Amino acid sequence: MATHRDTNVNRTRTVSLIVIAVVVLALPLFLSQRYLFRILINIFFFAALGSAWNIIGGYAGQLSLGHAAFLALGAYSTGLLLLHYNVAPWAGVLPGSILAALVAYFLGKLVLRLRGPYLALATLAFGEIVRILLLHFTNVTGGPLGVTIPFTGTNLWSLQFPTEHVNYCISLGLLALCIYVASRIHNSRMGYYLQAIKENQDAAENLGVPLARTKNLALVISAVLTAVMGGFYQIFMTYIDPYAVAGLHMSIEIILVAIIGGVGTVWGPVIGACILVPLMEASNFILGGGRAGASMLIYAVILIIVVLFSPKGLITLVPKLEGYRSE
Amino acid sequence: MTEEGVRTNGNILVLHDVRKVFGGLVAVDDVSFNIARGEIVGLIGPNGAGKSTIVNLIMGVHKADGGTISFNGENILNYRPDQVVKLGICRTFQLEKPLLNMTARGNVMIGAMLHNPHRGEAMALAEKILERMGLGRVSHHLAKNLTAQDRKRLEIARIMATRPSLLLLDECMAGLTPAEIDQTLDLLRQFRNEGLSMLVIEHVMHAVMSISDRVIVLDNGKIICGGSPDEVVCDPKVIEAYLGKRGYSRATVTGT
Repeated sequence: MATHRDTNVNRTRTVSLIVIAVVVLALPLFLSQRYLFRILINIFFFAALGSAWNIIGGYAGQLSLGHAAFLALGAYSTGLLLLHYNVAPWAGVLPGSILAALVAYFLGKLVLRLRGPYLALATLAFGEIVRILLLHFTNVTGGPLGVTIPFTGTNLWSLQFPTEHVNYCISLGLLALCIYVASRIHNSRMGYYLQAIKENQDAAENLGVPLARTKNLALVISAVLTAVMGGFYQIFMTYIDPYAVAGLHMSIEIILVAIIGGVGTVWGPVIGACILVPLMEASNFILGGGRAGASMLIYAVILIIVVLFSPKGLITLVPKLEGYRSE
Repeated sequence: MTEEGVRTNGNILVLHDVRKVFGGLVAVDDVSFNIARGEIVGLIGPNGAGKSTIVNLIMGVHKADGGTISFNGENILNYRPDQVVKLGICRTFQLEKPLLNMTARGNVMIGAMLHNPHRGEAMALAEKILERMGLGRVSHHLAKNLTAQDRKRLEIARIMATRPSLLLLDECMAGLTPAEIDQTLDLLRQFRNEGLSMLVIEHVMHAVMSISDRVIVLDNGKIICGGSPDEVVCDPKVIEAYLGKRGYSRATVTGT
């Protein structure tokens, strides 16, 4: 009986996934406004970042407030290698990801033994250190001026195109990658171990869960995916600076996407990004530049309302998705 | 090597001069004892005697300041808890620590995944164990919604999923009704018949005395006596440790 229900749920899920995929893939054919394109790409971008963060912050409940640092590592390595050595972005993102993996590994060794607010503070400090280093080493990073990739016409090598179609496809592909990795982890032994760690580390360790190794691996995977998204950010925005990619507001944005959508669930970050990105755009659009800061106020008020009425994330409004895992 | 082999022969666990100091407090003071294969050893003593500390030392939660702890002849003194579990020792917590937002089945699956990494296998094993423990009916309930008795049961169920050969049961019967205690005792006897060894820490005297082959009494971090349950309850040192000097004299006067 239970299996019958499970297969029904599975079928519903598969069908809705296919429908969504078709709609999303066909959308560029009907979109003409560049602005709308960029909003959609932003949704995919933040959904992917939220999914990546979710692996360590959501599944394992290890609150990282420094994920923007990994984004910056990917973005800077991609940008600098393209600018100075004409390395294609898809290759330039590799050293950035490897660097992010190494940094995450050593950071994890240092701080993942910390619990609760101490871990949050340590990762916060880590994010700030990276931002300040990027500002400090002006001769390498460009300091506060950041890295700008000049537009030199359509260029397949450096992924520069007059329209956003390619960026749309890349961001969608990267989102699919992040969701795939996250859901594979979620449904594997590692996912269960991460959940046990989130619930009670002492109990988990006394049931055979290797705490340090499991947490560290989750952080490394999360950091690598975040760095890859950083590489995309560089070619999408063409301009990065320490504030934009490594600022605390970026780390918080990533976390909000996951939390508003549904922390620790596979589809939560996607829902969160679908709500947050348009919300930000809409409040900017309606209030315009005239009343600077007013848009942030509306944004904040809506966030508070969401958190008050749906503290476990908006995904709880979709019970079928929420019950994605019954254990 | 041979000497070590002889010393651990027949013993699954050997503690030798194990010592643990917290600041100025000697919590465990050169404690030595062993547990034979298939034996149930009761560990009793007043609050603060160091019973739970011994469990934490065996598991590697605390690092001992001296001595050796060997399991099947292997010194496990510097092992982490997850490594100790992998070797076949598993413990329950005095204050049970369920994974609250996971189902009963999920809790047991975490233990089961040690030797069954695949979700399906772990799930099947977890269902089997829950059924056996009488928890089949709450398998899909979140641990935070379980009753006190079911939570105590769940503690045992999920450590059984790690396929242990030695159980460290830290007050797994505290707070249960007499009938529930008897059920748990039956279960432990079944486990023993299947070849498991156990260290049972318990304040419920009737329980620990009826299940243990041998009882060790700990007071202020030192073993003050050990022997069969009958010997131990009559030992003056034990009565004194539990009731104090006046209590002891009163007990002897009334002829207990």
